[in-house]
Amino acid sequence: MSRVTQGDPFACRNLVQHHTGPLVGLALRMTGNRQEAEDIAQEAFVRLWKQSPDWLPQARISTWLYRVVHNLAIDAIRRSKRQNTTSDEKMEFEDPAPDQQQRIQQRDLAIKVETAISQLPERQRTAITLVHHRDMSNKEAASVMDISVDALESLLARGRRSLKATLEQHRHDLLGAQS
Amino acid sequence: MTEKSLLSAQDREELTFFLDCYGGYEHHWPEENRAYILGLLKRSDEARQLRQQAIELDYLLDHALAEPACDHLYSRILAEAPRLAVQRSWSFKDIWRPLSALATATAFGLFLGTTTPTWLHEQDTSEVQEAYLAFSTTDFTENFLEGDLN
Repeated sequence: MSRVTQGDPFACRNLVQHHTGPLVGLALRMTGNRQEAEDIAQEAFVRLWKQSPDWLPQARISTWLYRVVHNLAIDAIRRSKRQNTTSDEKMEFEDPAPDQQQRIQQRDLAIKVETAISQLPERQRTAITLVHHRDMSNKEAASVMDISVDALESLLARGRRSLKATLEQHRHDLLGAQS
Repeated sequence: MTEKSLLSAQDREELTFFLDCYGGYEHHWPEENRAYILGLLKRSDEARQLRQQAIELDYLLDHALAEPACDHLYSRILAEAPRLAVQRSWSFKDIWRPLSALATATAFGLFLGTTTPTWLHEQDTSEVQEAYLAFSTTDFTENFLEGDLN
């Protein structure tokens, strides 16, 4: 972070390349709006640049960025009064599958799973995104969401149970699609 | 499944809740619970079966979009990044003030030297010369008594 504060262009670029995608992913999952998610991620970095001269050495950049994105997304949700998303906005990913048929199956699988996730309440979505997709520890994820670890575990358990029930009917198709 | 491989009611309840929270991937498990969970998995077929079910859900979640492509955003974000490197790495930052003061003084001196009218310093010189001649040709002995001069 000290190199970022000094304006080292390589450090800034490295930071942006490492965190932008995951931050947009979290904001997208929370808000359901791609443009809004990108704006939120950009705003988080703007705040980081402003904060950089006063940065405390013990602070962790990723946790700080995720917390800012989380709070900005909450604000955006409140503004737009919108919780549900259209799956079309979410299905933009690079599929490395070389075979066309396999690519279609992978895409179908991703759409079904993402749709199931998007139907969860926003806090459950966020908890699962942070712990499962961002590999955060329970303490870190709880810190980002500004809740206790017990509350986080409750959100995770309810979210995963709902997903399990929703995806159960597709389970064999979905698991078979990857082979 | 043998009786020995079944979990106790308490272990089953705790493991089920744990796997509901964190799934079946070991790297997602909190450090403080890991030894306990691994112990259950080592001694119980039922525990391994529960974990396998959790891993199936993990696998499905892995297929969800996690990181959309954002390459187009990099330049937008970096355009607002701190740009202090050039200023901070300038090696003359400690001496630019005294150097600029010296240059200003030199330029001012040259300006004065080249723009001052010639008659100004000629007049000064002639006045000094006249004063010197007057002083050197004056007989001061008339102003003093003879005894005072000795």
